[in-house]
Amino acid sequence: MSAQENVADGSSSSGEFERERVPDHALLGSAKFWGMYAGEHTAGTEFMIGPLFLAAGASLQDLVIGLLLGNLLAVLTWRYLVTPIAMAKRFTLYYQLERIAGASMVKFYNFVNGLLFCFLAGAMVTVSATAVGVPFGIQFDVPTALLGLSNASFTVLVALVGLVIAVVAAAGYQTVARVANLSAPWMIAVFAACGLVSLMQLEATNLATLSAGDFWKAAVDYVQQRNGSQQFGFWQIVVFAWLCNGAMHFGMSDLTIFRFARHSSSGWAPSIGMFLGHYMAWIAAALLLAALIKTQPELALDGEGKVTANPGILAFQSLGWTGILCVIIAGWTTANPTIYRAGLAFQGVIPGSSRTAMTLVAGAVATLAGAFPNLSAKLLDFVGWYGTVLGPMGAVIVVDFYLLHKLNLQDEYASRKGMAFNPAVFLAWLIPVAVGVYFIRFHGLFPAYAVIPCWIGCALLYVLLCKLMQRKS
Amino acid sequence: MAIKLISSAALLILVGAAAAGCGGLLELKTIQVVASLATVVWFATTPLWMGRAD
Repeated sequence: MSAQENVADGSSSSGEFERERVPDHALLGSAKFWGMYAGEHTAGTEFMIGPLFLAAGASLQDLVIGLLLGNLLAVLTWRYLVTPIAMAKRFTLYYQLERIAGASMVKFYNFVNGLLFCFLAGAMVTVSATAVGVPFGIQFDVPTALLGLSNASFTVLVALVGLVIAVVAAAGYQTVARVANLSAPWMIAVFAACGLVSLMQLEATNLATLSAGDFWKAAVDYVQQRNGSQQFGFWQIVVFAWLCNGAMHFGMSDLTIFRFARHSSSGWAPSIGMFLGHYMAWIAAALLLAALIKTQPELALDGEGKVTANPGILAFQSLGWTGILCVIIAGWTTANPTIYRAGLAFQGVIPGSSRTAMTLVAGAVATLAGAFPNLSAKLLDFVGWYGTVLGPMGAVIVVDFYLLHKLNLQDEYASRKGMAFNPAVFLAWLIPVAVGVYFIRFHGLFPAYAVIPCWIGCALLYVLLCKLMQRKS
Repeated sequence: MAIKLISSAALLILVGAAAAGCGGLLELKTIQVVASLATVVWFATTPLWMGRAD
């Protein structure tokens, strides 16, 4: 168990093999990885992401086939991009990056990573608050402005939920990790049951009705009438499903996990997370919104008369108190380790700082982010941003591992030269990410579309800059 | 082993009740009650065996 929990930390405080190869006696069998991925990817975010597909106007057929293809591509990326490097080097992402880019560059990466973790945790605080608010009748409104607050009651609720989550995370997350482990199979069952109950409520209980998909079209039409016309096409679904965890596979964050793999077959373990969490659970959560629109459409509307995915209401209307509990636990068990990891990342930036203090800082940032409901309402965009910003760092590792020695260039350059900051890595990362951010921000590019171009741009630039820099030296 | 079976059965009953609802055999309120009971059983029994081997 300890190794598994330590790999989940993904940071430098656990004291196990953080700056050395994982020794043979510490390697883990495949079962550990399957269990971990099943739990990690069936989380609070799924309650939010699933309904967003419907709200964005995706067709049911595109969703079913697009998610299948996208998740398959994600699994292949984990298996054939991450696992071979993880098993060959057996270092954490942080140590691997330090050897290539230098300790200062890792600090910078830690800061960016920690900040993005906070925003992700913030979305989960919002999700948990929607469920806690149901018994008290607290409405969840999503304002038009990106940095607009919800109503006062919901904002106070977010602050309270965020405070509790931050304090628990600061106290150490062993208990939460245990609750998360205990809850994972139950949450998967609850998601499946929610999907089935929604089909019952939609009266889509035979193959003919399911194939026709009229219940879905009716729900999409209702959302479009209220929220305005939107489109979310097949390739958007494929690319989103593939790259929503771009930071973990293309970005090589999961090197930290797979360095413990005894067999390369462990690289298939993400498939359980993808096909239970990012397939079954997303579709089930989307069906929850379709069912609510059919049975009690007024509950799907916020104060401004727009359709809003309120995970708490959605789950309550389906499975009652079990649904509410599932949303709270799913949000809490996702937010808590995320805040904990963000705290560790910040601690890495400020040496000598206490983990408790940094976790509370991360919790405060997450709570602040959670107070702006547009963050969770735009989760489809946020995870694309996440992959675009962090994913390209993985390209540096791939080039370093596969290409540099073939081009007669030195790998792990910072480590060989004793550099604290490798400017080639920084520029190779910064330039494509800046271009990607420009197109997303000013030309309305769907954020997940930027991940692969930025990744390839970073790889090419890194080769070029290595040539220039190493020729000089 | 028996406790493990009870935990697993609780989850099967939870999903099974929802499937039965889909087949028109159970009403929504009944499914919700079954789900609550299955949840209580799961969280009462699972800590007794899960993670103990580690």
